Amino acid sequence: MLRNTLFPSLRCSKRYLSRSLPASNKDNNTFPKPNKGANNGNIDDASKMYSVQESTMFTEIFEAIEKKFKKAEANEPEMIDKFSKMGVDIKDNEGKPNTAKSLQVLFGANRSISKKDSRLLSFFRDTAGENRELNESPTLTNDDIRKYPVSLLSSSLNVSETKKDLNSTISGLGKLEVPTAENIGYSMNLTIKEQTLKNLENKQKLRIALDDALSPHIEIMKQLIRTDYDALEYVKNKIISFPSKRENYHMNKDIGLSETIEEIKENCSIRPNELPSPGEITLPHVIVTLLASPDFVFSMDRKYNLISYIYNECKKSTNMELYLSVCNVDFYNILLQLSWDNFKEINLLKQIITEMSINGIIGDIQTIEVLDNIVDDLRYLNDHMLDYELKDPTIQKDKLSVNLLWCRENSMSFSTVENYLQKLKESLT
Amino acid sequence: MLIRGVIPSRIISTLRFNNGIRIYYSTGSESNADGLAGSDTLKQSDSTLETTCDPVIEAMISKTRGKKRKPSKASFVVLNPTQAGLLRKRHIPSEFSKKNGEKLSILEGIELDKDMPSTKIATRDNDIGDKSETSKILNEIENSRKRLLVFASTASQGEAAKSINYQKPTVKKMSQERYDQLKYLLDTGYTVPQLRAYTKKYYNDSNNKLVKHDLIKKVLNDYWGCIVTKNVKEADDVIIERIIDISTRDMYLLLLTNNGKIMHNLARIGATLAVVLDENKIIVRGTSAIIKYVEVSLNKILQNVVTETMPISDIIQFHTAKGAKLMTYDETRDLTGLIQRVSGAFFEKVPSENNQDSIDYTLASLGRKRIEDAKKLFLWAMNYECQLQEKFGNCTDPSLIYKNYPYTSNECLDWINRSKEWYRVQSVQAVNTIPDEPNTDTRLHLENETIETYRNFLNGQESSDLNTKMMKLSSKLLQNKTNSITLGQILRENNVDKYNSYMFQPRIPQITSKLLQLPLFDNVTPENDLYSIDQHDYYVQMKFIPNLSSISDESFNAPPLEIWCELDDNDNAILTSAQCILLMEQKRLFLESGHLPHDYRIDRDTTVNLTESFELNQENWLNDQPGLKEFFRKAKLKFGQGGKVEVPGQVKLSLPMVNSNGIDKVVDVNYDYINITYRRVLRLKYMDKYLVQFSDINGGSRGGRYTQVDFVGDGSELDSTENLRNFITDISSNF
Repeated sequence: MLRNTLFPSLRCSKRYLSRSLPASNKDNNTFPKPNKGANNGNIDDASKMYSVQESTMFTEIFEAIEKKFKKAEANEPEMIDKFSKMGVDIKDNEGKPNTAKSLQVLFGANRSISKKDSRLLSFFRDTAGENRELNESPTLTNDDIRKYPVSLLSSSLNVSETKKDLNSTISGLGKLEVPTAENIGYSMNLTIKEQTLKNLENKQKLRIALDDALSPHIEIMKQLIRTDYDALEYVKNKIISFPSKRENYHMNKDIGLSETIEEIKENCSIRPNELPSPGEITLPHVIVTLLASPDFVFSMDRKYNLISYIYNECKKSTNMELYLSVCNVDFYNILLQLSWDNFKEINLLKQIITEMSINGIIGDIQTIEVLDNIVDDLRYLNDHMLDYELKDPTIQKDKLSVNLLWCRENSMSFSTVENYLQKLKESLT
Repeated sequence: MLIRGVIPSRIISTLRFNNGIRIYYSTGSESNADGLAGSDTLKQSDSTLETTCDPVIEAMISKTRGKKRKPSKASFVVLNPTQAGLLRKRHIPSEFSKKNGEKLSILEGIELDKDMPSTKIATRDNDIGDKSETSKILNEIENSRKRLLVFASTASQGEAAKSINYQKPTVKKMSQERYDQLKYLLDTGYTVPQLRAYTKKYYNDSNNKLVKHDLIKKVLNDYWGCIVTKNVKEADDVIIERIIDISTRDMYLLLLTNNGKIMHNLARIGATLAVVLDENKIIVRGTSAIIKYVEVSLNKILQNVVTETMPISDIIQFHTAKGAKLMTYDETRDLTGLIQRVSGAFFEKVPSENNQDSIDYTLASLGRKRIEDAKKLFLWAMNYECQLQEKFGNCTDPSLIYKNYPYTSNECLDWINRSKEWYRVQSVQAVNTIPDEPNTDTRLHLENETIETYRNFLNGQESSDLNTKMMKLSSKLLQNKTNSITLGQILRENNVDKYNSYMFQPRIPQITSKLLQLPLFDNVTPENDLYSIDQHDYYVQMKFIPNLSSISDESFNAPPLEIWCELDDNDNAILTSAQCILLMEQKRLFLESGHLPHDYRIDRDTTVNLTESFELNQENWLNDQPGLKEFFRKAKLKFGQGGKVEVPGQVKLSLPMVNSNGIDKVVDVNYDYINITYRRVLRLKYMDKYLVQFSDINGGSRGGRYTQVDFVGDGSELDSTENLRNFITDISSNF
């Protein structure tokens, strides 16, 4: 680069900012890969991410192994140690393998992916960066593989398991089309744009219907939640009492969403103090209400406190259902906005969108809007067009903000976000 | 340790030598990948400087050297991003660019030592086809069949249909045996209604009139188009099962090295693997060729398990300050459990060889690197902090209600703290009433008397037992004292049954926009260049703790060590900019202010810089520290593209000290490397007197990533109660 010729005698660790980032609609393929390139790729892979499903699973495996060790230690430490070294299986008192609770970790080849899923998958691959190959996660099961015919392939063993496909839980809800990852933009009859609009409309309808159905409970919430700490307590209780898959209100697939909503409405008017089931529909709704409704206004940092708490509790929980239903697109949109409002770190945004892709959550119109505003402001800083109106008044129209926010790494993160936004627009419009 | 102990060499500064000659220097050295290796060229350019003591020339230099020249417009060459090296051709991940199965190594994505025969592992054994094998395979099929069980009939028809569809073979040509196997499977595994539901769903024909036998034939022949051929050997397509017994340790390593990457890779070549945790078994299903391959691979991989005994009590003793509490057995057990997860190395307890009563650990991992890693993490967790003294102060508004708010932004905590649950004490905020910014003068509730006790504490009036045990360095080494205030949040551990720990995490919300209004600290860049020059300073910081076995006979403790280097444009460390900083004393005063979004920490640090500047004494640089020279020779500190970061595990320092009799002597102390962080720092100015450091600190996945804001004073802050009060109010009134 030319900088060395400019200041031969001065300190060379001056970095020049890349002034003209390529317009993101061109050259998508030549974009630098996120995470590498700029720097700290070598500290270690800090940005390496695993899907929530996978990390939850490995935590479980760890705990299973640890438990086994503790048990062994409590009983006859030396004997067991010897056995395990010799490769003899540890059996329980009757000398039989304890098959009832025996955990199995199952690795199998990917099942073939349908055409619409593969399009979706390619979006996720494009936007997940180099983090991992998607759709390659082992399954944890209490079922003994040996009960199944030998010639079965791995994939069929998961059929009765809770393993999630790329699409989210709501897809099972039936007739009313909720915009899930599955049906965004892939209808045969509609153009993608029409489909997007239709999805938006349906989503809006669903939101209004739920607002109506849950209004007695939301009224109670308004009385109950006086401070941000009350909000925290409220969410905490709801998360704890979120049913695990097995004890779940089992939804009959033949019942459409409208009937389900009727049921919610009925239950809610009878017992407004309780959050009516099914939790995977009602909990995400009240959480979004709590975070975004004008009835619950908190300062920015307290809101971030709250959303960060929910978000991390969901990720930590061994109950995958919780994350899958609560952390939906609406939730992520609020998270994106609040993260930006509080920290103004482009790198943080990059992390969130990457995580969305890894976990199979595709952005929607709202995501585009949130990111567009941020990107516009940043692009202004990058190109410093002085007559431009800033959408975010907190960023000063000042050369210093350029310096504060810009360095090579931020430029790279910025182009990742821009790239994501572009891809998202392509897939939705 | 803050960065302020380091003199940013970028500042064009004047220094006064002992002999009174004053020279001006600029340390902007050539961007050089191997700092030391390139020192010849540096010497040349700087030797001209040393001779320029002529007052006229001196004056000239002071004019031109002190300022950065504005580049003339003409010298700008517009490069497109590719020319500028900003863009790289997108690399297609090998998984997608190659056909599945081709050239696939089981160890793909697993980092192992170079000497591992990974290529051998990957070569496929092709000796399966012989006769003796065939009969063995037939036996296995027979055995497998006995184990077949009818599918649970609880599955709904839709699920059953789906599961039948998964049986559809991808390759249509198959051996008679595979064909029979499929037929057998459909026959025993599914009921007629299930098969009909399948054909109805996928082929729109419920085949109501066909009996089961014919229906299965139709599925196999017509729908799936299976063709029996002699060209396919049964070894290649009949699916069989084998159960491999395995030790807990090996199971652990296979499953948890890179989140089961090895198993994934085996699964990708077509095997189905199930690990039965309680029974120490791996069940493999696949064609016999694949099973053979899996077996051989697993064997070869497990041959590369490296083990090492870790004398835990020795390690603890040599890395705990004399006079400090030793880590207990329970603590080590929790810690090794945690390290196991982070590093992928396996800890196994063994009775100690030397001492029957104590316990050692045997470490095992795939490749030596993970063992080294685990040992490093253990030292990290030792928390060797004999230089540190902490005190709490409460500045909260007593009229408000406070609650414990969970803190959950784990990504900015290090691996140890990430495993714990934290909360911060904060005032509750009523719904729909966003509080006004508190009055700037009374944001912190502080009495004059308390400030006086704070001042006494920071000034070192209260010294602890550990303080007195710290070695006294020779007075030739200049002590550097700094006062600073850091913004952050005081977190307490949410854990009832153990002693409650606390921490200070410096990443806080809503600060960027405030900082954006401050001017740069050293405004040397011409106006126009502000747009084109990155104003950050880049550093790498390495932390070390002493191994006290090297001074086990002495009664004193050695201070912790940090080595800082600047980074050049390409993120390579400039080794000649290295500064070796010993942390002699750190006083930290935490000011809790739960009514504000953040708390404050006042630091008083006493440090000693062991290395003199390279520019001042190029000939003899580091001659007094051969261990350090050796360290830099071995270290690889390239953070840029394609670079490598390798930090030697040890460095030996020669510390000039004064012993209890007041006699100067030099002690050699070994230091063990703990961790490394990458730092991007922007230096701003506040109220025309405080240096504000806005740092982005990246410690990787272990160290966490966070930002930090420090306000550094000029050193007079502790001179009087008034000064300290002003320091605190200056900062807290606006931040």
